[in-house]
Amino acid sequence: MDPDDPRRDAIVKAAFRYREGLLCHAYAILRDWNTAEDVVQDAFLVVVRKWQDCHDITGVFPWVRQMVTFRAMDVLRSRGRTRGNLALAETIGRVMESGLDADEADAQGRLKDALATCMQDLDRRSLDLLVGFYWQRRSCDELAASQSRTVNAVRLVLSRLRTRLRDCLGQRVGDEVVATALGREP
Amino acid sequence: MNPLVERWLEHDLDEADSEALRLLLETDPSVRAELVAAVRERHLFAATAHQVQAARDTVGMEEADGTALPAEPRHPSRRKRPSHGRRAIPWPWLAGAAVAAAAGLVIMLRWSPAPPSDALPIAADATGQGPTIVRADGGRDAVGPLRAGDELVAERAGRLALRDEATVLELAAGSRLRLDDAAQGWSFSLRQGTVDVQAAPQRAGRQGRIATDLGVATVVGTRFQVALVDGITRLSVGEGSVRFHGFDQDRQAGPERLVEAGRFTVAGPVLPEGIWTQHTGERLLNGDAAQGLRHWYVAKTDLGSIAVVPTGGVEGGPWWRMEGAPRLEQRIPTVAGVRYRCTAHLRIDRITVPRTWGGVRILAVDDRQADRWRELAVGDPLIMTTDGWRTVELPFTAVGAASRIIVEVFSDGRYAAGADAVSVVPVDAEPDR
Repeated sequence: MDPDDPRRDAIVKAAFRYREGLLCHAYAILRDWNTAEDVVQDAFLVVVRKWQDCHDITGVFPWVRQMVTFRAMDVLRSRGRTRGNLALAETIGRVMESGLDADEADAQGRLKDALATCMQDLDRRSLDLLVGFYWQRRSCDELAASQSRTVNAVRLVLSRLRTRLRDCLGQRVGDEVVATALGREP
Repeated sequence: MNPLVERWLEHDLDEADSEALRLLLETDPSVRAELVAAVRERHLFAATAHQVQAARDTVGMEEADGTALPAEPRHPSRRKRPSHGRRAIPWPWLAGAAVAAAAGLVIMLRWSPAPPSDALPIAADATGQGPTIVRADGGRDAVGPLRAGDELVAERAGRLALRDEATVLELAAGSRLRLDDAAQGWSFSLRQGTVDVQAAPQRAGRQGRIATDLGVATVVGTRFQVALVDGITRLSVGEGSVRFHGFDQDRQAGPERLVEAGRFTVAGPVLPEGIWTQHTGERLLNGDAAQGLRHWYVAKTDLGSIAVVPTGGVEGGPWWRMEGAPRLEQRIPTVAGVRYRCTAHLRIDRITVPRTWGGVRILAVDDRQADRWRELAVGDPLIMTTDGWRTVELPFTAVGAASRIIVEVFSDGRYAAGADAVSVVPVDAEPDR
């Protein structure tokens, strides 16, 4: 088949459109952002190389998601995870499949774009706090030490940041969309 | 939120709890919904904050004291830059110039309107097609001595000679060249277009200089060309050598470079989409090759600081354009198993044949065997519009002692594309695969 087939581009583009949703899916199984990114990248490489295997453009998301699931489970097995952990990961993979369809996976990317705009207004310290807590999974104790704050202050700032960003997100995409994606504010 | 889901989020489940949560998820739809929403929220906060932080680090915009950023992310090329019309000179520039002058060093450029100075006698070319002289007071002359502030405007390609020396300036059609100073030799600033200079060696105490907003070339006695192309300053040297300083966005001069015959230097706030392939050379971004580019554009082949692989159609003048399927690539040393993050700014413009598919992408490949690359990662290929710069992130885990980062156009269209501020940095986190 002609590698320059326009269908190739459509399939690759479609796969990339779901990147954020796929990352969510991989993270839920793996619980590690870096590894989740790698797993999604691996899946994209397969898409680029074997796009002909996808016969239906509307089926791109489940196709790639399946690859992500298989690869993520492989990673967990290679790390020697216990049977219980593997069983939970499998269940969570199914939960994510049922709770994050193609539309929601697409919406996740738009939400991320909107949130990025909201985050532009944050100062460096706040951003560091969010990255430390959410991306690097550092404890509030560690963050408090690194920012010369009390643990309670770190928790308070994180809580306020969450509220502020959710509000900003709601203003940009609508409160209902945010509530559907992230649940109601506790 | 269900406490088990909460503890799962905090990675705080033992084997029994894991099983309890699994059963709960199998039976309770509300817990399932909670978990999905929690993951989506985690993802948004984690990935977005990380991306915004990485973008700030890449463009070096953040302030140590936590100054808030502008509302929209900006590409380095859109950072504060002096405009063509401005005359204000930052005080560090003046201070630096004063210190250097006191030390008897050569100061490269004086950008403010120069005070009246000695006239520069010129002789138009015998063809009589020399550029028009637009005087500082608005008057126009075809011939006559040039004074500081006068501007040469070439509606057609033309040339003139500096009468007291064997220096010839050739202006391309549409070029504008202003004389800033003639007291200690001559100092022009190129406002637009291209000037070819066949310069005689300057007498002691005199200098010949051609400046742009982005740098200044000082004559040693040579034949060279300074061109402004799409906001880029390109200096290419035919004979002899030329000293060159690139300017950063605050017009602070970068380190001096001696550009020898047969080499070029390109300076700009945005890197050009191609290079002049007849010469070898380097590229300067914001005054210095090392600034902003990190591991990108180090010497690799005869082409100098960047490898251009024209596997597809390349057309048009002396510039490579990323049209068809050529690509830019860079080999970088890596450590097997270590995770890296490549960030690049890409754009498409000047579409000559609209694309129906494809775009610009970055990918990382293993370099263990140059002829048998293994793809490590591909970036978002959706860079296909002309709406400005897009930031693309490409995380990958190296598998060998070297990797190649490739920026390539893959498309059936024909258009110019550019890449800028490409960086490859190791990620802090330990790879665990």
